[in-house]
Amino acid sequence: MTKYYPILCFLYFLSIDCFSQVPGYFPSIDESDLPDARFETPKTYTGSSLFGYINGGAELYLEYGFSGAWINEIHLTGRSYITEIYRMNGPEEAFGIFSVSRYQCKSTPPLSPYTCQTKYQLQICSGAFYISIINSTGNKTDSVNSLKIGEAIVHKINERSADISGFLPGVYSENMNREAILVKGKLGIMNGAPDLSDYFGETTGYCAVILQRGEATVLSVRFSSLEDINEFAALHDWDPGILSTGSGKMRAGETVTRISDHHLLIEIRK
Amino acid sequence: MKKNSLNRRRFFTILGAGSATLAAKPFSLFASESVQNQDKPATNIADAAKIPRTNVSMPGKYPGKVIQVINAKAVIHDEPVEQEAYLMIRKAMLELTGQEDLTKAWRTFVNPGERIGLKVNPVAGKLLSTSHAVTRSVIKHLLESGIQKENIIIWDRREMELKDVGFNAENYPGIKIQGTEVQDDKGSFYDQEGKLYGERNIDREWYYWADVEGEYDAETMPYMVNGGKYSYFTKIVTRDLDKIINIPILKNAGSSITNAMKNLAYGAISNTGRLHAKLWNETCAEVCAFAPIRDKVVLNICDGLRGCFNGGPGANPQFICNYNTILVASDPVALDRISYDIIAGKRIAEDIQKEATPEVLKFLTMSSGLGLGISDKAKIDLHEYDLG
Repeated sequence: MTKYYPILCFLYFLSIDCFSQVPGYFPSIDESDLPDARFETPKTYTGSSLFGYINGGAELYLEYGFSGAWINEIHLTGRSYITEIYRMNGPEEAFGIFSVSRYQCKSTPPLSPYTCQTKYQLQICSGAFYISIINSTGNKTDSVNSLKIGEAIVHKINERSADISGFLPGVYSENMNREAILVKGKLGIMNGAPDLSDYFGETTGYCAVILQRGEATVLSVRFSSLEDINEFAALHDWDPGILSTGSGKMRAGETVTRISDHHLLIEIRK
Repeated sequence: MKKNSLNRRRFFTILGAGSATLAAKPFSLFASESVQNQDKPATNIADAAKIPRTNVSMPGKYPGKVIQVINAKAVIHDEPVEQEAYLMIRKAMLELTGQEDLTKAWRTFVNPGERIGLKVNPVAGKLLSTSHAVTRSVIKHLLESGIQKENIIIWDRREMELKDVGFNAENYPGIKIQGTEVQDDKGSFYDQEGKLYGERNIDREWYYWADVEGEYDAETMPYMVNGGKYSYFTKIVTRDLDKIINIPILKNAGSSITNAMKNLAYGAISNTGRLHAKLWNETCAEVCAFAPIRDKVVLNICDGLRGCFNGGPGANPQFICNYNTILVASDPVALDRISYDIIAGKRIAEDIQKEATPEVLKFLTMSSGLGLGISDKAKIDLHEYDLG
């Protein structure tokens, strides 16, 4: 039996990462979840049909890896809430879209590791889902109602959320969950870290977590292939010798550490 | 039809459309070829220049002149105030034209008997649509200057989005509301013959061709109308209107902007999904170089009462702000350049970015190269007024 443990373990983890929920599953809610609420007919979008909802704004979601969206207007205690649930291709992708969309959070309600509440919006990243609940008047009742809606949705999600600390081994920041952003391409950079647009240039095939840490900007960049990492090195005219030694200070002043074949940790000081 | 070529039917269409103004200017390929980037997919931009410009072609009567009116009373409790918007537009129109008489100012651009289209932007939904305060103010000005109500059309790409944000018969009695993409009362995009309503509304005689294939699934197609390498202009601009007043919103798109040029370009053609990733700048500039846009858009009134400084072009409430501003220009390129400064200023103030990077406005440089307006800030004649 013991000889099958590795296979069983592999299948177990595979099931957690890839098949923990039925493909196409949506934690959509209705009157059975919120009996006091009234629901309009939901609109759904999959893949590129998201253009039909947010036109050019869809490109950002598609860049991260978008699977489907459920949009509804929910009426609660006489007020209306535009509720959007985006299913991304995975937890990191969901965190990515969340991370470049949040801004000046007034609070971070404990519905999931990643939440952001402002007067007019509650944003949640849970599992592979990015959830946005928007109100139009911005008062306390709206905040409470938004939390009720958010809670009902999150209650139906049963999968792991992104672990951002895994991107930044050895880097501790108590604000990591609140401040880190995750990008996978040019649009993510433009939305989340526009000052780094030139630094990434036309680079493709990467997933980067960016964290401001005092005077330094820390970038954890995972590349899809050696070719991608080499192109990035060429863009910055890095000495390949330094990269092969594991760590070094580059001509432009940044410190680059090669964590693995495809993974760089870059620290840029102001 | 082969790429970058004209078939016989198309050739005569272009000649026909251009014949009225053929005498005014020689047939010329002005700057279009110089802006075709060899690294980018090819487009049919050269076709645009084959129709001579008219005396109202972009950048219109006042190249490079932009009027900015600010009014702290224009938005109260996050709601735009129609009366204030009216006054702001009044001030801007008088200053733009140099007229003392308001009717004369409007008649500089539009005349009774002409069919006037108001190109609004409802894409981001109720939170960040062209406001009713500004739209109604423009209509009021038009009516006061003698334009007949039945000749005013509020239009955009998607009729359903117009309705969603309140551009409907109830709110605008007597004004026609029109979109290219249409959903019927049952929510279907298809008629009884299984044909997209949107297909009836595109004009296959007018197109923007680009060497990028639009491939869409069944769910996406109703929002694109057609796939392939052709984006057809809506009949709204090619047939239903004589003049267009462009009323975009002050919005960012990453560190760039989506305002006058984008509102026109992406609102006037089908099959746009393919153009966002590879040809966003080119599309914003080049579509506006085709006669139905270039020769009909006479005025741009940017609704900057409320706008956004990040997260655009979608509407994220935390990024929406009150700019309390209206910009007016006949030159959409110059207007966009000034809009950029307003948005970049806000982004810097909010610590979204450290400094202005106007070099991202490639579509404005391209537009300038196509003769559609002035993108060089140093050459723009900006007049600022504060109504308090």
